[in-house]
Amino acid sequence: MRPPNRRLFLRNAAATLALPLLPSALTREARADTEAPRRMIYWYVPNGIPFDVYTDAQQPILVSPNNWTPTVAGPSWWLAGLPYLLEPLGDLVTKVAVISGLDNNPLGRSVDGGDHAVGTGSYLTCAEILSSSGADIENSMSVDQVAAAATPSSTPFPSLQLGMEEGGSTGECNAGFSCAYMRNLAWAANSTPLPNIIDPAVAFQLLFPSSNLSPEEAARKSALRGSVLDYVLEEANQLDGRLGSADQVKLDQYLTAVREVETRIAELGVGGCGRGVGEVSLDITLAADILSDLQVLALQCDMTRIVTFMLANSQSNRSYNFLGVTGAHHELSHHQRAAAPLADLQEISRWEVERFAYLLRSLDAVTDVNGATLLDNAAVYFSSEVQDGDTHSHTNLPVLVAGGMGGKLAVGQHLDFRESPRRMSDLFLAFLEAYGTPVASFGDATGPLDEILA
Amino acid sequence: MWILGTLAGCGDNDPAGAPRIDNPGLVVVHRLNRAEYDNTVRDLFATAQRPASQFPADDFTLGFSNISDILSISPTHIELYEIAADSLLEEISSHRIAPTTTLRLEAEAATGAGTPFGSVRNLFTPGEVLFSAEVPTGGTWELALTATAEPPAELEISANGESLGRVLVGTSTNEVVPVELLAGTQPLTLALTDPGNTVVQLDLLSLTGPIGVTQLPGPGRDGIFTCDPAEIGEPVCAEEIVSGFGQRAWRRPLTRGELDRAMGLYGVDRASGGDWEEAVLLALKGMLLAPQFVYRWELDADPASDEPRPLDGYELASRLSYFLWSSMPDQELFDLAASGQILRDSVLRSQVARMLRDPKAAALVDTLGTEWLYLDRVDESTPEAAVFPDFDEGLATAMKVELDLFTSNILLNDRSMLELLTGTDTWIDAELASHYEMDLPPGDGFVPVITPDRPGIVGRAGWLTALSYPTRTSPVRRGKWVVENLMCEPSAPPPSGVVPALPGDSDDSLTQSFRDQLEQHRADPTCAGCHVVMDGIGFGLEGFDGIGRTRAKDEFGNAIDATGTLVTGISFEGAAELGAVLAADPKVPRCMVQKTFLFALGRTLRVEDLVFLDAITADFEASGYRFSALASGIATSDAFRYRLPAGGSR
Repeated sequence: MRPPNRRLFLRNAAATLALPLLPSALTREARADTEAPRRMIYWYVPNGIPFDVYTDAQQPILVSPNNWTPTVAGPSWWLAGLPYLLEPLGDLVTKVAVISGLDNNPLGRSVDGGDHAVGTGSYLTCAEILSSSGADIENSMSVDQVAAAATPSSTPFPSLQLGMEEGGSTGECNAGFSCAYMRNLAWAANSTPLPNIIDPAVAFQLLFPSSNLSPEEAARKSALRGSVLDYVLEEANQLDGRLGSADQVKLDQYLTAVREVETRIAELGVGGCGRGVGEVSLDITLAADILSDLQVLALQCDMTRIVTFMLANSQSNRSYNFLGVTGAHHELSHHQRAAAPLADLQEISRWEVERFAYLLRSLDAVTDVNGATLLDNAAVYFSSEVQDGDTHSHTNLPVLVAGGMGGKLAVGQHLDFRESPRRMSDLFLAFLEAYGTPVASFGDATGPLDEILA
Repeated sequence: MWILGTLAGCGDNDPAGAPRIDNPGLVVVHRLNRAEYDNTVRDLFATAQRPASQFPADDFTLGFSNISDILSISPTHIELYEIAADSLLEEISSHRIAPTTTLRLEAEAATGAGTPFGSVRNLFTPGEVLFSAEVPTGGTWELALTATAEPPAELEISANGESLGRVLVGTSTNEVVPVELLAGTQPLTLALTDPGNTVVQLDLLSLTGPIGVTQLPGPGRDGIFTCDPAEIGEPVCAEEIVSGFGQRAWRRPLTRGELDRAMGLYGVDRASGGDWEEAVLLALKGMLLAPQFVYRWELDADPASDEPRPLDGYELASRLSYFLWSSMPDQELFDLAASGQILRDSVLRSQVARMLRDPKAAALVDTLGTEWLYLDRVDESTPEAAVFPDFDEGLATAMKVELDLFTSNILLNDRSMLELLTGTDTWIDAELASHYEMDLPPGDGFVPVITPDRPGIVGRAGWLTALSYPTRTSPVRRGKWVVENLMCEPSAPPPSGVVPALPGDSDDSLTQSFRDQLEQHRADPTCAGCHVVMDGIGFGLEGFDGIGRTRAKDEFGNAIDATGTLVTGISFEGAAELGAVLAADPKVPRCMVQKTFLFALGRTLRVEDLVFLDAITADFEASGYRFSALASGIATSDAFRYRLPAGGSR
């Protein structure tokens, strides 16, 4: 028997929740003919993942050909051995697609000094982002929000945004690009980024508010809560029509946010789904895994079906000294093909894949209503804003897609487009189709990536 | 600022026949940022709560977190505003519930029966595991166990030998049991009800409570509950409270319709069976969530107009208080707004002087100062323990305190702001004294000292650390910061494809000084343009290592050469001379004006602002670079007192 770790604290709290979608009778007797909801999770890791390892700055010599890309394409690629960075996936590989040769480069060029902002801003939008003086922000709706907008009020939270770093990780944001591009993945509208919740306790409180009230009193309070929001909307409407266009944009943003909360309350009904967690001081690994637990819980409870998660902010300079790595991440990522920083980066990348594997395992441990696992009914995406932090390239990005989205996605294969690269937006078109919310166009897409569709 | 950087020389060409009111520029409605939200509720509720620390980080651009163009709002904000409002109103409620705390009793600290195993304790025999809890307040507490047992087991919980209840432990259950506890040191014991059949792994016993204990309402209640419903009648008193609160929260008098709508909430609550106080609080909650509280509105009678209009008294009072206090106006400002007196130049100036003497002006250092001058950025530094074993949390905190005291002294005591570059009088504690290798004068905590070799912000350890890398100094980062933040010169990012030609720290084959490496770097014409400017300044600070200690040799054992040259050709040696030559550069005071103006208005600068910046800079210089003159100059400028409706061009 291994000693339980602190993570159990949240795990155990979660286990006491009333799970609206998974009453215990149903869990025991999951029926294959039940339609399970499909889900999407989009993960982000910063500063790229260097594939190659060199020995010398002056005369690069490849030590091991590639630590990321599988040596063979097609199904059962893992039989040829797992690259070092994908080892943490272990036997999950049958539920993961590795995709090589996808570009996310809507500008079609590199931007002096702004590659982290551009890569992160476009991460889920695949669209050009505006760099003016830095005060205007303009992007496009992100793929997760396209799906959320197409399935209004199916869950209390149309989508959930989680992260681990508050902001300003480098002090200044990137070359005239607003920090908004570097701290957010989800964009509800062209100038509305959706900020991340970084405190697990806050996220838990929002998702599963605790209540000790009697059902009658809870119903009365819930109705009053609705009245307050009605009042707030009415008060906001008093301003409508009295504003210039720039102020009207701000008011519309506010109205949209309040309406979403109103829908949330109606969906939640009375009472909550559980109780809060106490304050826990966390190391980074544990914090990441607890946020993964929350993602699993949110899906399991059907609080939301769409999640974005930033393991760190763009251009993060987080220290990974707990991995025995000296130096700050972004600084290290400018490795100039020197052996030592590359070895350190490899450990960071591997840790990132380990965290991702933890999420996948946790999703795979939950049986959904149709007898398959939560992972089988989800698409879980993993990538970075650049391929390599040294070259800042937006081509041949490191991409993992896990879970089958209810049998709609063909995972368990290595898709290799390096010979004739495809666009990330094509993959996202395929996701939207598999999710049941197809759109005609998205970002710079040319057409759905059929190869990932089952 | 890019535009200003390139056009700064063209300001003189502005035609003399400019319109009567210089174009004040379009200020988009401001959402209260986190500092403003916290300070506003502090003043509204006399509370110590700081709910905004839970809000998402504010969108940050142009060096500040109060630029309204990009401050966005999301459903998460609304949810957290609601939680904040509930918590603030709870504090002024007569049914105020005492806050609960969670006591965490680790299995490592348990004694009695069972066997310690790593961080857990295994229990399978008869006998009692003993925990000792320091219970601050007696009452009902919720007990939760983090433990596993396969097969499930039942544990009896007792305090002082008296049974409190039983808890079931399984593979993944975590039952919560209410227990009655007395205040003081309480022995808590756990025992298997049926020993011998299973092994329980105990990890943690947590107690949350006391549950449902009431306490006296907070001090903010008196300023809000200004009448007694038993004396003047419930609806009348409710309306008085709602009207008074609304005027302060929305920072202007309410219209009749606004008051009626808020009272509508009062009515809904009463009709649902709520008591008088609950109904009043519901109306206040509505007002706290309304856009009129969350944003600072300046409404135009004719939004389509392109004519600048003067702000009304309340709008001006808000602009002023959010500039100098990052908070709502106080009663004196509200009174001057109501009478219209605040619109007069002389009144504005005397209010600026008064407000800067108020303790709330500390917000200027917390917001403008901190974001501009990196006063707390050491928080984001991660010096490597292997290289800098002396660096720890305590030292980092001392560094921040020093920067805060140093900057507050200059800004709030109205000294010449050029002392931000040259000032040598500061405050240090024992930790910093040892860090600076100085003798600490007698006194408690932070005591005043003179640091002749450490001039201004750039001589303070907190700043020097924030602008270093985890293992070494960065003359480039330090120089770039000075160029961008003290001279307001934008620096272009490296051209793409150019890899910074500095080796990794781990590359120990290199022993050249950074100066030599950077000199080579600058031989490349693509790099020289910017690096000539940045590196020249950064070299002057090479006498301080990556955590701001004085040093004689660099990372590679080479003697420090702290000579440098400004792009103007002026040479200097060491930090003190660098501070002096920077203070003599006319770009510096101009940059101080530009930064403060940007912060005061919370909007992007435009070419049209040059006329304002010129005039304010002239006043600022004439005053001997006092912050009071700078603040007055901004507050009395047309850019601050007028507003361009959205119909006007930007």
